[in-house]
Amino acid sequence: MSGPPVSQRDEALKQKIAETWGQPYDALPKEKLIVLSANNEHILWEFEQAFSLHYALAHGRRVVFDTRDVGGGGSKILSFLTSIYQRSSTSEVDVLWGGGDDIFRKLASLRLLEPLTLTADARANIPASFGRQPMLDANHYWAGSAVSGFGFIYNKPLLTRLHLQPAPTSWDDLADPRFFGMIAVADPMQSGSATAAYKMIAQSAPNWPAGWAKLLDVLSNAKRFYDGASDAANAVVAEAPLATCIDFYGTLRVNKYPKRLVYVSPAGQTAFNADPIGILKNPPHPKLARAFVDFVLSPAGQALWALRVGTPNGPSHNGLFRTPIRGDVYTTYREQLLPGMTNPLRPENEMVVAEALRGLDFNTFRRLVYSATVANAAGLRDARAALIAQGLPAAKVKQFHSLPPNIRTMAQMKSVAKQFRNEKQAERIMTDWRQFFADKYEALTGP
Amino acid sequence: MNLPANHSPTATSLNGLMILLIAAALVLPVGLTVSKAFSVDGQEGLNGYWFTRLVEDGTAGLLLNGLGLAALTTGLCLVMSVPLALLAVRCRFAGQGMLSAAVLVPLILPPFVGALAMRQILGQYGTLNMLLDQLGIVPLTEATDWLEGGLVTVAVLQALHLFPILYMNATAALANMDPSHTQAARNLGAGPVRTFFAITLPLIKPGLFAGGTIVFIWSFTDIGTPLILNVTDLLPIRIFQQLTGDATGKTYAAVVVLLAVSIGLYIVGKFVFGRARGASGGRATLQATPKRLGALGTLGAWSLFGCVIAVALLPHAGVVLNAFSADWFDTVLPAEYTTDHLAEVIRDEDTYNSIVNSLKYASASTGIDLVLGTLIAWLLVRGRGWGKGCLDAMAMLPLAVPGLILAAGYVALTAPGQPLHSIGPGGNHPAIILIVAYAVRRLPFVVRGVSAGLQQVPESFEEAARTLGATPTRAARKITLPLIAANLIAAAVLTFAFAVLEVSDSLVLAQTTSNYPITKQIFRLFTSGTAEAMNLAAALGVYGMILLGGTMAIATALLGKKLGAIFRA
Repeated sequence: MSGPPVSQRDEALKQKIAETWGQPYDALPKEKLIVLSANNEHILWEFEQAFSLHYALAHGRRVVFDTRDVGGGGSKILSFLTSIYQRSSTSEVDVLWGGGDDIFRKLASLRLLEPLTLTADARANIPASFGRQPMLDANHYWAGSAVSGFGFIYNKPLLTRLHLQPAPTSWDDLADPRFFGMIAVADPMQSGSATAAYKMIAQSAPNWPAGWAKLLDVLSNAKRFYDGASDAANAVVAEAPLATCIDFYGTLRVNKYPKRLVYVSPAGQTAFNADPIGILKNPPHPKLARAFVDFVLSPAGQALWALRVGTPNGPSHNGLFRTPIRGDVYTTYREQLLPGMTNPLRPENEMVVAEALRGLDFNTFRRLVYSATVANAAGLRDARAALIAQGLPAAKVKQFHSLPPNIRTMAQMKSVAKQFRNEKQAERIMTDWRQFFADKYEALTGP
Repeated sequence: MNLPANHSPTATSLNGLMILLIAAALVLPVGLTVSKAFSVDGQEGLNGYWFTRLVEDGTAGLLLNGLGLAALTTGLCLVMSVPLALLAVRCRFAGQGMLSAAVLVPLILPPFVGALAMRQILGQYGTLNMLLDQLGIVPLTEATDWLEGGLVTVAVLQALHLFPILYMNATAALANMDPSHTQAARNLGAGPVRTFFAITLPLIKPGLFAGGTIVFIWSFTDIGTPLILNVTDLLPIRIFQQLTGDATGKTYAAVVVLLAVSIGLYIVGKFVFGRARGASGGRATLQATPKRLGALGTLGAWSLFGCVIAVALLPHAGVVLNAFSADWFDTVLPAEYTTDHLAEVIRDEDTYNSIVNSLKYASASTGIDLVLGTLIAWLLVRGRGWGKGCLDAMAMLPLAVPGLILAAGYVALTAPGQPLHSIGPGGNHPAIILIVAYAVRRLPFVVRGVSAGLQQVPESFEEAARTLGATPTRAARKITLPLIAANLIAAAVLTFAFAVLEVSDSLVLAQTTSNYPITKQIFRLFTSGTAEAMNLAAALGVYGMILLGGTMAIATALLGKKLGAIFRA
């Protein structure tokens, strides 16, 4: 993309670079960094610009990004990389950035990432985990570069026109039958953030069956299961008054339509997970890759996420509205922060999970949610409609909430998680689950 | 298998060469991807386990849904396009040129934003329901969700998008028809309806079959429209969901089944509907005099064209409105308009690059398709070589291959260290793999379109030329090619338009900004997550529509009266 005019800060840095290296910044030799990223071009442009200036000052060479995009986020990136590494020892890509922590966990388990050599400063300021979600890989194969939160967004005037006020403020509110068919929801198989949020909803109950019941009540109010979290967020324009939403999609939209859209980050029930950065196995430019990772995790890099455009440490063209993972950024740059930007990783935001629910396995859970909802969307909706029409009779609601026989306890979930490692068993379990929910919904819908 | 009586070794060699080419560009990459359908627990060798699992998964029901949908869509396309084609070829009326061109505009709907526009218009709280509420017809609290329409709605939307394919094939077929046949029927006392069913329809059958097969297989394997309408009980949708989520060997087994059924359907369809009746239909040797319509007739023609075009262009209108909208929330139309989005997009040099790239890729792939497709069509219709059945089926295969599967195959073939790495997405010449992908996927358009034309041109014309001393090449160049020009142009227009709008391969295989075609650039804007993402993507969609519309208009202008004459015969 052709760059916008450089800011005063960038001009000052360029002058300093010229003084240090005896030639203008634009005349310095270039180094190439190949970045595979799910981040948007505003983010990539701001980081490329800022990193190049920092690097040029220190090393007398500019940096240009060769940005790769494989046509989608998490799942597409993962299938692309695994396919490449099956046939080659290198992907010819240096840095993988964004796309959710689940692909990084998977790539780390396949040893397709290089261990990072984090600075002491980064290690001191990035929490190892928050709310039992890792923010930094235990073996340093990846580090969180920003925090993704998950909440919901609603269209205020539309809620009023549809007589659906008061507006919801928590996930529990979304389970209210008055919101039946009104919520645009993300498919857990497509969105790791959505899965993390669904997991938190389930974990906010005292035990597994109660947590599942709570989640199913919310998801059975779904209007539709959208491919990704951004797609669901777009639905509040013309399809549904409410939608589940990644925090920065929400804040960007609210920033544009402050009177009409409201983003809710349910207190103590918001899933926060890391949006990581890592270096891919056998990168073509390992030194530069490490320098870039260090920059992204440094206060200067982290400030770009959350500061206003034109502030001394902020981005030079576009406000990025993403949440830094380093807590010190929120205090060091307090005066320059974008409106509404607060540190999410505070103790009061950390949800207390009942001991009984701590063993919830992310991937097993996401497949179960998928089988019960996305794979049986029509049946789920019909069953819920029938229950609401009958005044939610207790016996039928209990049947509605029932779980497949092989996953009724946490111990069973652990054993199912092991079985999922085998492709044959995984497929059989998924097929059985799909059928279990289909049969149950049909029974509840019938006379 | 029917062995040709006077077998030609040259034709057989060419058949073999074409089969090898398609195998290398299509079967090999697809095979690499779907080989997982035949292995269990990583063990080598053929294993049918995943196919047995498909039975338990209700795959038969999904396939039946797909067949019903495809039949309905093809039927709707026929009902929409044949009357329009008859009007366009057989009649003259004021504004005809404009309306005939406008019928092609549904082809140029840009992806993503086209779907979004449908959601904005037909969504439960979208334009249509806001309008019904404002007019006091249906209050918003009781609004219908038009996007939950089921298979019939999918068929209607598919037909509105795809009918130009049948329209172009039908127009070319009608233009190729010898009017003396219908005149003879009319002279013998047959009414227009009887003449149409007894004479015209059988004679234009190759053209209808050509367009019909493409529409049928397209609808049968379509993902986009069912996803917009939340219809998931279809095999391609099940495959897509698993490919983007949790694919197992069963997913790839489903792909194999989808391919086999598509090709099986094509072969059955060809057997039942597509057999050419020799060359007895004959091509026009004299020019039909089009009927000039009076005021009432012109009004009727306008109404017929107008209705179809107005409905088919609704999503386009949605895209344009989105591009110009500064504020479109809870209102029938945008509350404020701006040109900022169009200006911002055009200022970005990536936009310019993507337009140039799309033109380059689509022109190159259309050129390849015209050469190879015409050769294949000639081999199929005129050739006396062995292996025609195999070549015919292989040439239709690209229609049924899910884009993601082909793209994944190309990624595997061009991985670092592989011999083809330099033409892959990470190599030095990444444009090549995109052009190959586009050419492979659109090859059936040319093969079918040109085959239909060749079937209508009596071989006796070429034989006469050869008796008079012309070489086979000269006979083909001087006699056959001019006679099938309408089919070639129709095929080229369709191939070019669909290459510019190609999605799956572009998303996966164009990985560096400088190589993005326009569809990938729209996708990049669409998924940026920013609040203006939709408007910017729609703005680029508008440029895409102008590009395609403009290319078609320039083609028409360059060919001028010739084009009109070709279609009129």
